[in-house]
Amino acid sequence: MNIQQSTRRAKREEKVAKSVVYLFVFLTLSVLVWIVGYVLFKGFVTIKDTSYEVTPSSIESIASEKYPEEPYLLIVHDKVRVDEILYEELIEMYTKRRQANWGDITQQNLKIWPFMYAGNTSFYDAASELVTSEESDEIGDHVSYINTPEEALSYIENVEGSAGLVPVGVFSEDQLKDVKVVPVRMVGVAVNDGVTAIIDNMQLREIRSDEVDHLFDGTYTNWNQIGGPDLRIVPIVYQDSSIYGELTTQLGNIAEVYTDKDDFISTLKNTEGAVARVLFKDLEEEELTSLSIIKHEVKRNLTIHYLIEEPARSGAWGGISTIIINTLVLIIFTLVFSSPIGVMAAIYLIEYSTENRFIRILRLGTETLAGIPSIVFGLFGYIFFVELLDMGIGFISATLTVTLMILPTIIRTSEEALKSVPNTFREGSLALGATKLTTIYKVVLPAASPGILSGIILAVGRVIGETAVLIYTLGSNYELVSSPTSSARVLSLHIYNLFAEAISFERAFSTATVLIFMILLVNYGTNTLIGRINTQQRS
Amino acid sequence: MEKRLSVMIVLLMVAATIFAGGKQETQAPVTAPASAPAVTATYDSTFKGDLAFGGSTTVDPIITAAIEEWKELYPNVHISYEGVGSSTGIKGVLAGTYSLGAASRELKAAEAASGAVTTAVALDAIAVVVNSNSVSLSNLSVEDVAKIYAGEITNWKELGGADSSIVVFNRDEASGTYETFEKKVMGKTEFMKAASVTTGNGDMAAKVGATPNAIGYVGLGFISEKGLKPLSLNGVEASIKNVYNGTYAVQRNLNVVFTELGKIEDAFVNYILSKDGQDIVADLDFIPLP
Amino acid sequence: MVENNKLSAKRVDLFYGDFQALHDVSLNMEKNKVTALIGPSGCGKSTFIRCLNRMNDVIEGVTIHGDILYDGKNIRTDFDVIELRKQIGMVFQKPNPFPMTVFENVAYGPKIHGIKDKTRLDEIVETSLRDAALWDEVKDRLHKPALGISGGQQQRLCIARVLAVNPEVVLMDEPTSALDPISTSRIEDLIDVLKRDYTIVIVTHNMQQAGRISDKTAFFYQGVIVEDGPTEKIFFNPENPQTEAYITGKFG
Repeated sequence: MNIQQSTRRAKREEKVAKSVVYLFVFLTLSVLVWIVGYVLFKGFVTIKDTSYEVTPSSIESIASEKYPEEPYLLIVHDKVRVDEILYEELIEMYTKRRQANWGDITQQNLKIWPFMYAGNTSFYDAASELVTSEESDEIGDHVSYINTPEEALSYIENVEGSAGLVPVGVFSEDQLKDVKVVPVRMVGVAVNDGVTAIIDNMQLREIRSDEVDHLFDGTYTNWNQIGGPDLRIVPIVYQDSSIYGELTTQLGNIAEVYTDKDDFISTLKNTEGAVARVLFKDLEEEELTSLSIIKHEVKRNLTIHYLIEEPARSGAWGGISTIIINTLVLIIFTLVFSSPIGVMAAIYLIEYSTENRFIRILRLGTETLAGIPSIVFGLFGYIFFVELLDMGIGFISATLTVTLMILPTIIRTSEEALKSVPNTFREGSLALGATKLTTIYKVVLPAASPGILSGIILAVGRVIGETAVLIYTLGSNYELVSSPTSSARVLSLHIYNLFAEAISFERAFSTATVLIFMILLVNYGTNTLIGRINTQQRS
Repeated sequence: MEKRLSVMIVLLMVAATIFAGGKQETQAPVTAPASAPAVTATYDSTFKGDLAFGGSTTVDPIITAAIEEWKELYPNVHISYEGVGSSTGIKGVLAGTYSLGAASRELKAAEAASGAVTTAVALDAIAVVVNSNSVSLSNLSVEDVAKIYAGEITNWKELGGADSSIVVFNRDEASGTYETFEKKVMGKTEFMKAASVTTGNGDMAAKVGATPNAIGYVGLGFISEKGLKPLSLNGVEASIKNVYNGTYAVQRNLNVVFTELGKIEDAFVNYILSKDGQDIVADLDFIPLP
Repeated sequence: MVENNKLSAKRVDLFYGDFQALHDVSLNMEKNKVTALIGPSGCGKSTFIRCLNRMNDVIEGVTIHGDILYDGKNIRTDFDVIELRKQIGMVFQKPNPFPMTVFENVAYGPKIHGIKDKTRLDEIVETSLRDAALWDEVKDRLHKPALGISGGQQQRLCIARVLAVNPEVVLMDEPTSALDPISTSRIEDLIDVLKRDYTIVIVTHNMQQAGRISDKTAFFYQGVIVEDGPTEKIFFNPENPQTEAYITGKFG
C-alpha cells in the first residue's frame, strides 16, 4: 500500500474511533440526564389521578339547605397552604371529637382551631346546620364561638391554623381583603343502585372528572359506554331556591328537572340508570349510592417548606428539616472518626512499612473490605455494636459501623495520594535536617491533601447513600438526634421508609431530589477547596 | 484552610438555628380557647428516655401517630418504631431489643410459651387488591382468590377479565398479614411457590399498584394507595361497617406485644386504648375496637 | 594539611544488597574549596556524595564499610544525623522546591530547627536569597507559589533553602544538568562566590564545568576513584591513562 492509501486508511480508522467514542459519551450523558432528570422532575412536580367523593367544582359562598338565606364564607389563617377544601373535611373539622389537624389536608403539622361566628342565634343555627351531618351531628368541644367581627378578624390573623365560618353579610369587602377565603367542594354524583351492581365480577365505581358533564349533556347515553352495565343513562336535576339551585344548574342540560326534593330522591332511587348531582351531605343522609370522581392533578412537589419544617407522622406531614440535620451530623461524626485513622494508616503503609508478606496481606484485606456490600456491614454492626456491645440501635452504633465501612476507601485513596508525592520532596526535606515525621507532616501531607480530600469525598458519598448499613444500626426516629444512643433518621433511610411503608411516593422523590442536591453541593464544595489548594501550591 | 473550616462551621450553626425555628408548627396558638386534651392516664412528669418499639408494618401508622400525639403530653420521651414485620418484632420483644412490639396476628404457641403477651388495640380487615389500570374485575369469590394464590387459576380471562397472566404478589412469612390471609382465605390450600414476595404493606401496595395484571393483599389502611383497586369478596366490600357486622370475614386483631410492661409503655398502651387513641385508629382508616 | 580537610573519606565500600557500588574509596575534600567528582554515568559519584550527608541511610539494603570524617569526627558514630545534615546541605539534580510559597521554602529549614521569631525569619530569608543571587528576582513574589518560577530560579531557590540553615558544607549532585546554559552559568558564578564561605563538593557530568569551577577533581570509574588531585593537573597532566582517555573524550 502506498503512502496516500495508508494515510487515508489511518484517517478513516480515526474517524470511526472518534464516532464510537462520541456515541458512548452521548449514551452515558443520556443515561445521566435521564435518571437525574427523572428524579428531579418527579421531585419538583407531582402528576397524579386522585379519587374524590366530590366533583372539582367549588364555591366560596356556602349555605346549608335548610338556611339558604344565610350563606357563609370559610376563612383560613395565612399559614395554612390550602386552595380549596372538601365538604367532608369541613364537616370533620367542626364535628370531630379529637381536634383535627391540617396534616390530613395540606400535610402541614398544624392543629386546626375552628371557630364559628355566632353573633346571634340564627347565625349559630345556620352555621351548625352547615357543618353537621346525620352521622356527625355534634359540634366538637374545641370549636370557639365568636360574636363580633373584630374578634373574628383578630382570631383569624393571630391563631395559627385557625379556620372560621363567617356570614357573608356581616363583613365588609375591605375587612376581608387580606383574609384567605377558601372555597368548598360540595357536589357529588349520585346514581341509582343498579348502575354500580356487580355483574360478572365487574363493577362501575368511578368516573373521570371531565366526563361528569357528559352524563348530563347527552354525550353518553348508556352506562356501558363508561364501563357500567347496559342501562340507559337517565340524568335528573333538583332545582330550588336553596344552594341546590346554584349548584346544579348546567348549560345544555337534558336532565329532567324536579322541584320537590322527596320526588327527586325517590326517582333517583327507583329509576334504573338514574344519575344526579347531589350535595355531598345528601349522599349520606339519603343513603344514596355514588360514583367516585377521578381528578387529574399536576401540582408542585418540592417546596422550601419541605426543607424547613419538621417531619411528622413518619414523614407524611411536615418536612425533612431534622432529617437533613441528622444526615449532616452523621457525615461529620463519621468523618471525624474515620479520616484521622484512615490517613494515618495510609501514612504507615506508604512511609514506614517495608514491602513484606504481612503488608501485602494487610493490603489485600483492605481492598477486600472496600468491596464488601454495605448490607454485610449492616448485619455486622447490628450483631456486634447493637447487640453484643449493647449499644442499641442508635447514632453511635451507626457511626462506628459506617466508619468501618469507609475506612478501607479512605486508606486506599490516601495511599494513592501519598504515593503520588514525588520522592524529591522527601529527599529535599530530609537533606535540610528534618526528621521523617516533620517531613511527612509539613511537606508530604500538604502535597497529598488534594488526593486525600477526594478520597474523603468519595467516602462521604457512601455515607450519604448506603442505606443498607443504616437500616439495622441507625433506626428510624425522625427527631433531631439528641444523644449518642438515640436513633436518628437520615435522608436515605427516610426515602426507604417513605417507599417501603407507602407513605408517599411524591415525598420519596422530593427527598431524593434534596439528597441529589446535597451531594452536588458537597462535591462542588470539595472541588473548589481542592482547586484552592492546588493554586496555593502550584499557582 | 482554617478560615474555610470556621466559615463552614458558622454556616452549619446558622442552618441549625433556621431548622430549629421551623419547629414552631405544633405550638399552641396565642389566643386559642384552652381546650385541654383528653388525658386518660394520670400524667406522670417523670417519664423520660429513649425507647425502641418494633414490629408489624400494618400497625406502624397507628403506633407512629400515637407516638406523635402522645409526645405532646410527654415531650421528654423519645420513642422510635421500626417496621420490621410482626415475627421479627415479637422476636425483638422477647430478646429485649424492643420494649414494646406490634403484631398484625395472634401469637404462635412457641412465642406465648416464651412469655410474650398481647393486647388488641384495633381491628383490621385484609383487602384483596388488584392493579386498577389493567384489571377490570371488581369482585371475586374467596374460593377464586385462593385458587389464584394456589396457582390453579393463572389467567384473568378464566374469571371474566382480560386475557393476561395473573401476576401474584405475596407477603414474606414473617408477616402477620400473611398469616391471617393464609388462615382466612387459603384455609387448607397451599400457597404457590412462584409468587413474588413483598416486604411490607407499603411494598405490596407499591408493587401491585405499579405492575399490570397484579393481585395482592393489604391491610385496610392501605387500600387507597396509588394504582390499587380493592376487590369485594363474595360481593362484600372490605369496609369498617362490614367488619363490625361480621359480613367481611378476612379480619383480624391488631395487637401490641410485650413480656412485661414498663411504666411508660403501660401508659402508652392505655393511651391507644383510650377514646383519643381509638379516634386515631379510626382516622387512619383502621377499625376501632368495638 | 589534615586540619584543612573539612571532609575525609577513608576506604569506603558501599553495597546495594550484594552489588558493590563503591570500592575502597578514599578522598579528602578541603575547606573553602570546590571539589568536583567527575566520571561516566553510573560510576558511583552520586552514590558517594550521598554518603557524605548520610542520605544513603534512607535506602533499604545499603551496607557501608569504612569511615567518613567531618572535621575529624566520624559522621556515623559522632554525629546525630539531623545535626549532620544541618551542617552539610544538599542541592539535587532536579530542582525540588516544596509546593509552598517562595518564602516558606526558604524559611522551612530555620523553622524546623526552632526559629520562630518572624523578624529573624524575614532576615534569614532575605539573606539566603541574596546569597543565592535570587533576591532581586523574587522579592516581589515572596508569598507566591515557588513552583511558579523558572527552572533556573527554582534551583537557586533550592540553594537559598540550603543556605538558610547555615551549613558549612554544600553538596551539589549535578545541580545544573537540568538547566539551560544561561541558568547554568549563573549558578557557576554563584558557586564561585559561595566557596569563600562554604566548602563545596559537586558531582558533575560536564567536564568543562568541572574544569571551570573546581579546585580539586576526583575521577570516578566503576565505583573506584581512578585518580584525584588539583584540577589543573587532572585536566592537563593526568597520570592515569584512563583519566586521560576520559578527559579527551574517548569514552564517557
